[in-house]
Amino acid sequence: MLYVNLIWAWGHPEVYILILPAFGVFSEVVPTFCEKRLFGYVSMVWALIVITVLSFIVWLHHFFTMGASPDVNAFFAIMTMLIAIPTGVKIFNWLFTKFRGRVHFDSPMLWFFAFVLNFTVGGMTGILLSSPPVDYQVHNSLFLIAHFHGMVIGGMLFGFFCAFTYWFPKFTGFHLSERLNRYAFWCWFSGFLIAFMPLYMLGFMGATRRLDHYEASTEWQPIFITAAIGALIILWGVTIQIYGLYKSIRERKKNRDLTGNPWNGATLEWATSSPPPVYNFAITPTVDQLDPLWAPKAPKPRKDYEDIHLPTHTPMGLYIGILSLLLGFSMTWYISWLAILSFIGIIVCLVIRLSGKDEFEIITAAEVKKIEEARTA
Amino acid sequence: MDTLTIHHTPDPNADTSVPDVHQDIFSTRVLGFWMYLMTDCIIFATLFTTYAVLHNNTFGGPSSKDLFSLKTSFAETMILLLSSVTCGLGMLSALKSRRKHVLGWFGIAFLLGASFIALELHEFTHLVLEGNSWTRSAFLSSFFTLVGTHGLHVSIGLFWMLVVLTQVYLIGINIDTFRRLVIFSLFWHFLDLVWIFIFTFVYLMGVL
Amino acid sequence: MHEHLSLKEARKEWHGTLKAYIIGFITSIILTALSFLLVAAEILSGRTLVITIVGLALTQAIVQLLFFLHVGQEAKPRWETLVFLFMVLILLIIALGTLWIMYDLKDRLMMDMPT
Repeated sequence: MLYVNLIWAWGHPEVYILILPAFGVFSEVVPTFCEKRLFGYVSMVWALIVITVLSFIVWLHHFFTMGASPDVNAFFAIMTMLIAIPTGVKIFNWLFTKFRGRVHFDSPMLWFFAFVLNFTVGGMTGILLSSPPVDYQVHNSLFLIAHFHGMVIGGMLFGFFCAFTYWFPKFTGFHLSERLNRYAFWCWFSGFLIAFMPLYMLGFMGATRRLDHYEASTEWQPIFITAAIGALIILWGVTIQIYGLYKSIRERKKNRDLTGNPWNGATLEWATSSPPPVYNFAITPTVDQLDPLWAPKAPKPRKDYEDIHLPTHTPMGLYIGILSLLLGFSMTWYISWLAILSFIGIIVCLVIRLSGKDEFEIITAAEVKKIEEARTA
Repeated sequence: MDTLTIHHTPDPNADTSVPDVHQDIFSTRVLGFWMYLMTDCIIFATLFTTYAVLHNNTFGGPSSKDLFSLKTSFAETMILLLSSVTCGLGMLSALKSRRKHVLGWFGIAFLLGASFIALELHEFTHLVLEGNSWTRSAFLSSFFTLVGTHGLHVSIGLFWMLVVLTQVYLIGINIDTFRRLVIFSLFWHFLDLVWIFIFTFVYLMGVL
Repeated sequence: MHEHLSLKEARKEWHGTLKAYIIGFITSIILTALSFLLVAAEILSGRTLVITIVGLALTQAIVQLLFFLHVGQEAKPRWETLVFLFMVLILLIIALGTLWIMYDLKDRLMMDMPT
């Protein structure tokens, strides 16, 4: 139980590490596609802080059934229920951002809508699970599985797809096929619902996780088959995504993003070219409002370029990462020669990195001027 | 639209004029290393907590009372403390760019650190040869993991010290080597800090 | 943008002084010796002894944090101090939380057989 306790003391904050970036993505995407600034910025920040602190004191809800006393269970149950409140604040703020805005249903925004439905349903079943008496019935059942897939897929993964479709033009310089993005979206959204809603039912009916078979007399089979069909629909969605990526790359010259701001976003990255120059901004911008690009007065152009110092690249981090993977793998499987070699490799990379003079590359003001003027030409 | 700057009428309440003192490489790297050190604290805290839970689970074998020696742990404590202080004195010499003094003080810190490891290895070897290795009981498992992890940190620190001192010997004190000495000394002081808790909770409370 | 600090400027960021190291060293020696003495000579015993040596350890930790690691002495904004305090919060949650849970389990599941 010490192991279980420690792993979840880490594991619960981990799932918040998964979801908070997704929340950040939605706070950027929703205002853009509603042409309206984010509702309740300050309360969003406070909600984030409260969620962060609370996320460290809920971990026992992963093992309510493992023998702790009612006092202990009750404390963690209440903390778990509390964390729904700031999360709800955030969801309401995104919805209030939409209110009286001008909503565009581009694919990033579609992912947001799917998130609201699936993550909220998943979150509500989380409230059910946060009650120890209920959890005693459904712990390690398919009800739990449906819950956390709703959170991770409906929350984190849809947030990732939202971010990917939103920022793709910025970091590559060309657009993804919007048509294929939509097809893939509808497959994922419908497929997810068809795959996981039946699992809630099955969980209540007594199906546990990690079953290798079940009795025909349970009459669960039609429900499992429905879920399987949902999974196949998702698979079709993934196929469309992969094909869409391939097709968009092939047709990239036709679909270049020349404006740098295809979605009319308000934040600073949309003020750069797509993709941005290596230094990002020729002159570090000064900002005094939350949506700088939607400021009422157009900024005065500045041409007082200076030399830009950029740190040089180093591959050592990548190499050390790969060697660490090899070291961990070889230690697990007792492959001594590989373990020793990769360990030595890590030491060598570390010493090289530790010995380098901190080089900087300088982009002269004249070069900066050339890059910037080529862009506005 | 022009995208070069976003200057416009400044908001009197905006605080965009205060420069961030941490934007230079020196401060950034020191802060970054400090953050790593904080995560290392969490790792040690977890290992301490594990030891606290398991230290009485001796599985019929010897307990801490049977195995630990106050004399050895006192010697180890004094050696490590002295090593931490000589490291600090080395930093004071680095402030004045006295290369030879830096090498001298850090050299002493290295020898003291190496003696610490030698004593600890002797202690561990003795335990293992008598059959009291980490596989003997949960108590010994958690003991070796906690104290062994600390010893591993010290050993890596010794190696790191050699690399940095070699640079100081070859290049002298410049902004890069000074920064590396600063970061190393944070690590070294931190290890002595952790040892305070090891000698208190493991050795002192172990013999009670 | 990343700037270069000169060696002179970097030195100003370093907070050690000879006085600090001497105070830290002497205090640490005294606190350490006291701890070992209390245990070796069996001057106190039982809970009093445990509380005292834990108190001595915490005191020495604070001494070393202040005089060797210079916590809290950096220029504003005090990021290092903030990160340190956050770490202490998480540490207390994990350590005390784990001890509470494990001792609660031990009571309820009667895990007092030697293992």
